[in-house]
Amino acid sequence: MSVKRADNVVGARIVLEGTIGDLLEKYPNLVHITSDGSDYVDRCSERRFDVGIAEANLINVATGFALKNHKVIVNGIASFVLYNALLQIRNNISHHDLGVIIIGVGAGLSYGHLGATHHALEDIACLYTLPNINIYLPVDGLEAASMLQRAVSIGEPAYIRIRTGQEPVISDREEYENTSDYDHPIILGATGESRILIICYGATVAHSLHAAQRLREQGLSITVLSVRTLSRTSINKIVFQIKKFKHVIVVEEHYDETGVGAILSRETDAPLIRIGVKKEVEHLGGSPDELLAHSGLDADSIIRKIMDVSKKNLR
Amino acid sequence: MTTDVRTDTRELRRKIVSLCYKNGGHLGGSLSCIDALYVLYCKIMKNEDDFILSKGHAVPALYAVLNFTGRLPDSVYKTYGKADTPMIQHPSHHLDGITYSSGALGNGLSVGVGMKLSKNLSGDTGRVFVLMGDGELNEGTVWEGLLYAAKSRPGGLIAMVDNNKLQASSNTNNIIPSEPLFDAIEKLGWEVVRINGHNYNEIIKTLSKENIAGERPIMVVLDTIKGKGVSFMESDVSWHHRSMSDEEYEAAMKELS
Repeated sequence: MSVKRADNVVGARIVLEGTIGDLLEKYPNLVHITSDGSDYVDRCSERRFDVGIAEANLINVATGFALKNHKVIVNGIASFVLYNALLQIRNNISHHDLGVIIIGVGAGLSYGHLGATHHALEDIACLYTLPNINIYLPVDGLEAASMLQRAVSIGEPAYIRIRTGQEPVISDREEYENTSDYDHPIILGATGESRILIICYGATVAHSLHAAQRLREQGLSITVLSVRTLSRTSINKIVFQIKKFKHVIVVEEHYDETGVGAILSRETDAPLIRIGVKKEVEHLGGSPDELLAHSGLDADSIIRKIMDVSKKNLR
Repeated sequence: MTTDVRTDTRELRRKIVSLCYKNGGHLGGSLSCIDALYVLYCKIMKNEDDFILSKGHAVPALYAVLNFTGRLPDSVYKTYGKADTPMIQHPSHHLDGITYSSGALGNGLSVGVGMKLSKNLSGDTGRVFVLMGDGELNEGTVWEGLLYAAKSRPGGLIAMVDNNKLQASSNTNNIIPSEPLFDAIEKLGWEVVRINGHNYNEIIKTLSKENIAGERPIMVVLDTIKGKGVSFMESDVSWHHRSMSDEEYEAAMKELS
């Protein structure tokens, strides 16, 4: 697998390029289809197709392959594939329950300066409402690659949400070892004595861990839960964890009204503090990190929110 | 099935009218494409071939021909319009004999492109036929499919257009005129063949495997009449999806007897 790593940082896209090539070699009935992404993979060219800048066509052509028993991986900019082709994803992949795996690049605010057209802040809301599609929320590129391997082996309809750019590697921590069951959320940090749980996924895991570490230095014990899928099993396990804590904060790079926090709120009576992107916040220019901070999703903002919760609790 | 195509297609038209009489359905566009569907299912398609009814609202015609040819048993056919049946007013993959659920116009062509590319990879020489409406050519996704088929050239892909000159609300000329589109499609790299969509011999000759060879995708434009076979429905846009009164049903069945 051609993985470029430096200082424990990795680009999900680069990891997936290598993994898709490996999978094409492993599965003779697998095809990879892109929309103007021909540079993505350089192996098994007879099973790689580029339909041009045409996302609805991308999903329709993928549908045709899947109807004739090919496994299919498609990739594209998340906000274009999902929203240009939501009808095709719904009517074809979801309703027909087809083994098409969509890799959506550019989760949340990760396209930064490219602006609002490129941000994907409602992708989970769009796909969670559809039957059959398994939503994967990898914490980094390495986990994304493992999730892709599993989705291809099962041949399930799936969406893998990845950020663009370089990200810190989280999934090499020991808590992630031997847990290729992605319906199993990962519990990070303190457990027994902790009364505060942060639920997060993707980029907000690193920020939450950073916040938890700094708060621990101030004597406050925090547990971090890394969500990996939104299957029924996974949600049940998350709700089970929620019951153990006095305060639960959901931190997500998605509109807060319709993201994972909203989904979990329907599953539990426990009050959840939801920190996500506010719909009323207009996103102008900014690096991904600046935009995360602007939306209150960086470590400093998470710390402020938890301090606020703790103070209220002490009064 | 008889040896006389006119007897057969008259029976198919009676089946369409009967299906729609009590339980609704898109009459006009079903009657315009039934001759082509009859030829496809009775004279042209082999087991290895696939068919997508991209203009899914014409499903009464598909149900009629599937039942007529023994592919859809009477026990299921009779459930049209009932509760808990896959015999709905658009094709459903939950029904044997239907691969792709259509209904949202504009998608069958590029699904067909994917199917044919998949078959080619698997060494399956079966062809893929896709039937679209002329109004359907308004959809941008059709053009994405047209462009990609022209580029990828999956030989054995045959797109057919039921060119009945009417869409849901008006004549196509009043909305998006179709005629310039056929010229444009030819310029994209398609072979465009134009025939009378109610002339069995022309349809058979055009769709025969020996007459369609090579890698260029082929579009067969079927010039048809919406509501064909029932005089008071012909070329009348109101019959796109209106219900028949008892008197209209009797009159239609009398004409088709």
